[in-house]
Amino acid sequence: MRSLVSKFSALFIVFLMVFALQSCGKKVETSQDAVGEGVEADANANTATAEVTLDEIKASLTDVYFDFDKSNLTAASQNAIARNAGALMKIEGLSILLEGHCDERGSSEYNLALGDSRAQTVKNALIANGFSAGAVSTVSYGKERPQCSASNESCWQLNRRVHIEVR
Amino acid sequence: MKHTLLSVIFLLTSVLPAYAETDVYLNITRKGVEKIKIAVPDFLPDGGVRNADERTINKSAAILRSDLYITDYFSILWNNEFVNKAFVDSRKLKQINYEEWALFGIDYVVTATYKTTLNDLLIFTFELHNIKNKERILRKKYQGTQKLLRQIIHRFSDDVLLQLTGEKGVATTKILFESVYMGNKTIFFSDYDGANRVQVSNEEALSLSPAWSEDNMTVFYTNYRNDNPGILSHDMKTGKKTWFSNKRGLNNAITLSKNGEIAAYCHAHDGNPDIFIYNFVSKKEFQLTKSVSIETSPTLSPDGRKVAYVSDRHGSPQIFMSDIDGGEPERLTYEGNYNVEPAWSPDGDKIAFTSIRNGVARIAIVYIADKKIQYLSDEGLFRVVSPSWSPNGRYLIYSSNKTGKYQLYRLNIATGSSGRITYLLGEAFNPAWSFYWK
Repeated sequence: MRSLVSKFSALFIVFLMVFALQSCGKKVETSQDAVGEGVEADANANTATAEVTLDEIKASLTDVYFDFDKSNLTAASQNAIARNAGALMKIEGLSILLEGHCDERGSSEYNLALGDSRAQTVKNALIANGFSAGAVSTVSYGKERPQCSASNESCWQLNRRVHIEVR
Repeated sequence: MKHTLLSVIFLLTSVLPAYAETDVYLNITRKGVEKIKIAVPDFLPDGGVRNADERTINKSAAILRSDLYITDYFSILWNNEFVNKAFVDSRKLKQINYEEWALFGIDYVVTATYKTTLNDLLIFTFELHNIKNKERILRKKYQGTQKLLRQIIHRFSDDVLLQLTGEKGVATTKILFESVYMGNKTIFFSDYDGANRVQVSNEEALSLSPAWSEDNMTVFYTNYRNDNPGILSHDMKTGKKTWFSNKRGLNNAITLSKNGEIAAYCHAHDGNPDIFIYNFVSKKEFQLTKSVSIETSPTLSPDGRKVAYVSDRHGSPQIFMSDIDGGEPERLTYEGNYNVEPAWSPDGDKIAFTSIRNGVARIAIVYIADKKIQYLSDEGLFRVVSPSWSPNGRYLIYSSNKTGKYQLYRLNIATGSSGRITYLLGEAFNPAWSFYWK
């Protein structure tokens, strides 16, 4: 699984560059907006600016999904990671917690291990996308914190995920 | 240690379990052994202090009947006024009237009288009589506080079993399990029959995968304090909790050997779950597996020399076995593509596990010598998972959602009969049967 990740690393870096370029332009735009608001509002402009932007980043983050009993990345999940990395790097110095989750099938203990591998896969991919390694922690919840509780594939798909929590 | 206040909500099994549950023994052949016919008349007060709980104590003969029923060695005479009257008459005559008892067509009768003392002690005197030989073959006197009522009766049930079959019973042993309480999986333990439930872990953080120490005096479980799953060691006498392992990353699935020397658990550093072996004597730790695949759910052989665990090194989870100090692992399961939760039997020759195929989860046994697999439950729509052995190897406890909610059940390996153990609103998962008391 790891070798797979490293094979894709090069690809991620390309993705990163593309997204970094795109997001650079976007970043300037956003902060200009925010500063404008701040000036009009009050003296706490700087604090307010940071908060609004962080909320925007949080809102733009998406979960990264996996196939059953797998912790390697699909094409869709690679795209999601590249997008998330771009969003996260709009503010420097963000710390994140990656939560690995699984669907209800299989044992609690195996899924806890699988969730850990999934979180690590996303961590490696975010780092490959340029995100700072020191700012990422991981935790696995296995199948203990499902997002969706029905017993069908559309629900299971939503539960096989890594969720990004900005700390 | 905190007693849960929810007892009133749950039905406790102090009555005879429902007869003949037929869905979990299809692959075991019942042995054609005739059952021992036994009568257990209601217990009688024998002087002492009159006590408000007397009616409860009198009714507790049902606990003994249930214990004997569970072993599957006994056919228990349905209790009625004639059985009770025969015992009252015996008391009046100050001797057992064997001819009268013989009319019930039974082989044995268990009688018990009890006293309650001023300082709240219960004193039970149990007798076991052989009707055909017209003799008393066992007499035991037990005393304890009223809280120990069930334990006292369980103890005599094990005495009867040992006397009549030579088998060491498990009626005084305990079970650990997870149940959802206040939104989190929380660790509880109870008697082997589900009664006397006690909360072990604090409900404020998720707790998982409980395990016993060899003397049953320490409980280990995974706890998510500070967003990092570590393994807590919980002293059952003092209630003191210390970290067994809270290394950064996943620490989970601990199991301890019967000789008390070895612990095996899963630790994932940088997202790579591997098996670690800890020696309590040398206080040294050893990383058993170092592959990039997932290794978890270790189980130790009774002599503590070998470990079996789950590994997905060939693409899907299967059971492997190796020496605890390393060496080439041997693959044990080849059928199906999802075999997990191994549990080594107390006699050492087989490993129970959960097999999942086409969305159906059932429990199975792999015999170590020839790797033959025996499925213990049929392929039904519900799931039968997480087996754990009783210390005498006669039963497996497991969790099943056949009622729509996960509850614990017990399967008699020798006879194939099964019975339900828990009736919990918060469901019940991942049971761990205790060792014998030292």
